[in-house]
Formats: sequence, structure tokens, C-alpha cells
Amino acid sequence: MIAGRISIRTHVITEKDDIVDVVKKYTGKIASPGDIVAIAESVVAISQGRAILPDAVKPGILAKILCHFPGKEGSLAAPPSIQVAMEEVGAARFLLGVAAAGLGRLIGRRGDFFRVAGRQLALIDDFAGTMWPFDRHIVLGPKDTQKVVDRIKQVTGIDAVITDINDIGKVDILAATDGVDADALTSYLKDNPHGNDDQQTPIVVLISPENMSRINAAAQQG
Amino acid sequence: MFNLKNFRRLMLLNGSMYMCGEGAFLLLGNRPRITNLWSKIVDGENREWLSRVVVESTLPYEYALKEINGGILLECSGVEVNMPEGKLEVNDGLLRDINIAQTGHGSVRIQMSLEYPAVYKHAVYKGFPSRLVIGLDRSFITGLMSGKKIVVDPGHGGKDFGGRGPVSLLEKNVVMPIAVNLENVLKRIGAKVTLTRSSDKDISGEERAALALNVNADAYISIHTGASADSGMEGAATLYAPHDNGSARLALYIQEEIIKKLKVRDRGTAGQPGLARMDKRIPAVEVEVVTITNIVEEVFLRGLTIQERAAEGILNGLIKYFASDRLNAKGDK
Repeated sequence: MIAGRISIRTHVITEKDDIVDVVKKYTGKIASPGDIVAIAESVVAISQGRAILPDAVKPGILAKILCHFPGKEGSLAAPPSIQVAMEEVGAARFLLGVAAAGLGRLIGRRGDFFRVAGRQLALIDDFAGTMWPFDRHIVLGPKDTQKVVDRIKQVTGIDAVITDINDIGKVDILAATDGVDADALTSYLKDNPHGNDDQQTPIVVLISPENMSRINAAAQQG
Repeated sequence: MFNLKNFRRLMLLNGSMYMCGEGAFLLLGNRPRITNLWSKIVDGENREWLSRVVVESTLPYEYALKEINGGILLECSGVEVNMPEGKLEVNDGLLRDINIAQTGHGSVRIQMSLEYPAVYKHAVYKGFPSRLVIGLDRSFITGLMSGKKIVVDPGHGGKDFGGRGPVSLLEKNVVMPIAVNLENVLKRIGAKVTLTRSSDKDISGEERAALALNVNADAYISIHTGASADSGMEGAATLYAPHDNGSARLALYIQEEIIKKLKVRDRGTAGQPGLARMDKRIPAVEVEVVTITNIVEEVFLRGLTIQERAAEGILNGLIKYFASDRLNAKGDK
């Protein structure tokens, strides 16, 4: 159970950062055992070097054709991002996803593209999908998310989750340390405390009731 | 006088371990910590228009606010910065930036740099996080812009679709939401706005110029995107009417502000012979909000964020233009 939360502004995370060091630096004097650190998936991916500039991608003919199809799902709009997505899951699976989406649309069902082509494609942010200075990049989803949260727990002693939250309140917990009830966290995160636009708060500390009682006591004393 | 209560408080403020029944706990790492700083334009409770600055921290702390040359200084004591120090750019037309620095053990300075003078109010909202909220009154801007007649022209229309993105976006369509956003923010501050078109129809340059003349416009802002056969061309530019009537100065201000807002390549300002048809009394510019033929910027243009920010950048340029006009008028007296 969560009794409070606090969003933490960080520097602009780049591929030169180790996300575990970032978490340690910004939560070291805020989070205590029992709390949970929530980290936005996009900064984990960026720290892993998964932000790609368009010049690094050569869209094939298929990507150039598919970008003209109406009703492209998610954030895949430009040929380079479609090319990157095809390389992530393979062209055959991507095309199966496109076919499934077309059939799904005939019967008024949404979401078939990602069900067939792969959920990881929903994590790809096209241009403008990530804040400056990564707004000209295609940002893929993070890798090895379970290893990342486990390493955070090992180094800091604090539980951790990696989140994918959009602005319409959809929360996905991509990985969580042992013992964290990921489903129970969604209601505390659906208003996206990581913020958007200029609010650069990729780390949120979710405070346990026990620690919250101590904070309240300190606030009264102060 | 020493007693246990004072001792506990002292221990908390100095950042030691807080002792309690079940052992020692690191309580929020010692003293209050500032974790976030952000600002937003909001309507106040009494319909006043405010730049709201919010300083979030783990616990409350002591602070003092004072006016300084060009801004407001917030001095905090008994608190540590738990976020990057340095300058946060805001550029909301009133608040230029906020600079936060740890100046000593437990001392933090937060300096808000203002474009124009502003009255401010402040309050602390207890809770978690604790929030120190400073409301900066933007009425200087409403006073400046109220009653100004601005013609906003969404470029192209009808059969003339303007530039076309590498995927499918058309200039005539994407300039419309930007123009409507600009209309809305201008109306909010009391300007009188006329759109040259509100639907997808052809209008000649002469008709657009005549409309601006009919309403005796104080400024004419035409919204476009850049377009080029060179797909590598990117960024924003502002073009101006070739009259010696303030158009070039208006273009400079708008260009400066739009670059701050959009953080795209600055293609500068230049004369636009096509605007020669505008009446010489009306400052007139054509704003090329990024470049539609660039594959990345076509995606930008589809997003609501850039459509809103482009309007805010143009508005900030207009505000600077009219503010400098007022300054010049005073200087002339």
C-alpha cells in the first residue's frame, strides 16, 4: 500500500548515465526500505543507448509503403520508426500485425496490431514522442527491465518498478522487484506523476504508510 | 535551553538519524529536500492570470521572498537541493527562467527572472510533497495587449495546399490548429482577433491584405510551414513585409521566441516580397513554423504540443513587440 508519492526532477538522462547510479543519486536521501521507486521506461531506454537518430535508419520500401496506411496504431508514423519496429520483431511478424489490425478494424476491435506484432512495439516512441533533446530520436523500449530493477534493489535496498504511463491514464508496469504488487500500483500512477512536456521527473518515490507516518511526524515537529 | 524536544528538532534539522522505538531510520535523508520546480500559466481563483511557480520539497522549510532587479529572489534556509542546480528555461512571456542554487549548507537561492514587472503572492501547501507556490500576476501583459487588433492568417487553403510532408501532411491543414491556438491565447489576454479563414477555402493574397486593412490591424500574422525540395532543410523562419514599418522588428521578436519554445534550427528572418501587398501601416510577418518537408518535422507538426508551443512563441514575440513599442513611445516623449 502507498501513502504518498513524490516526483523527482533529474538532469537530462543520456546514454552516458547508468540508471542505477541515477536512482541512487536522486533517491538516496529520500527513499527508505518499504518505499518503491518508479522509473519511466523512456529514460531507462535512453540510458541503454536505445535512442536512434533518423540518419542511422534506412527505411526500406515496405516501411515507405506502410507509412501511408491509414489508422497506423500507436506512435509509429514515419518510415524510419516503422523500419525500426520491423527490425525489432521481423518484417513477417510486423506484417502479420498489420493484417490482424486490418481484420480487427473490420469487426470494430482495436489493439490487434500490438497483440500480434509484439507488445514491445507499443513502447517505441516516434519523433516528438520523447522530450527535448531526444525529440528528434526514435526511442525504443528498454531492455532487460527485470535485471535493471533487481540491480536497483541490490544497490539501494529499495524496491523498484519500471513504468510505461501515457497521458490518458494507461499504466503498464514493465518490471518490478520481488514482492511488489504491480497491479496495486496502477491507481497511484495513472495521472502520470512523471509529468510531460517540461516536467522532467522520470523518478517517482512511492512512500509506504510506515515511512509516511514518520514524515508527517517530522513535518509537525519542523 | 536543552530539552529532548529541542534536541530532536535539532537532530532533524542537522540531518542526523531520527531515533524512535523500533530503531534508527533515515528520515527523508535528514533535512527537507527540494525535489522539483516547475511553472505553468493558470487562471487564479479570482480570474486573475498567473504564472504559477511551484517548488516541491519533502518537508516545509523557512523562506523569504524579495524583489530584485529584473526578478524575484526566493531565499530558503534549512533545506537541500535534490534536483539539478542551474537554470530552468520557462519563456512563458512573463517568466524567462528560474535559477536554483545551493549557496551553502542548508541555504538555497531560487531566482526568477522576469521580462516585465509583476506583483506576486505566495503560500505553502502542507502535505506530501510540501508545495511552496508563488503566483506572478501577468496583468502587465493583458494591459499591453488588451484591445490590440490582430489578424491571424492560416496560410493557403482550398486547392492551394502549400507544402506537403514526406508522408501525407498538408500545410493548409496543419496551419489551421496553430492559428486557432494563437487566436485563443490572444483572446485570453483581451486582443481582438480576426482569422482570414476558418475553413478550407481559397483566399487570394489581396483578399487577406484587404481584410487586415478593413479591421485596421495592429499586426498581421500569417502562419505557414517551411517547404523545400531539400529534405534535409529543417527549422523555423520568420519572413517580414518589405516596408519600414516595424515588420522586420516584429519578425525578429517572433523568431527569437519561437526558437526558444520549439528548440528547432533557427533559419532566421528575411524579407518576403509577397507581403508587399499589405498596407504599409500594418506590421506583417509570415511565420514558417518548422519545415513540413523534413521527415522529422512533419511528425512534429502532427503533434498537439508543437501546435500549442508555436502559438505561444508567436504570442511571446507579439508581446515583446508591443512592449518595445510602448518603451519607444515613452522614450520619444
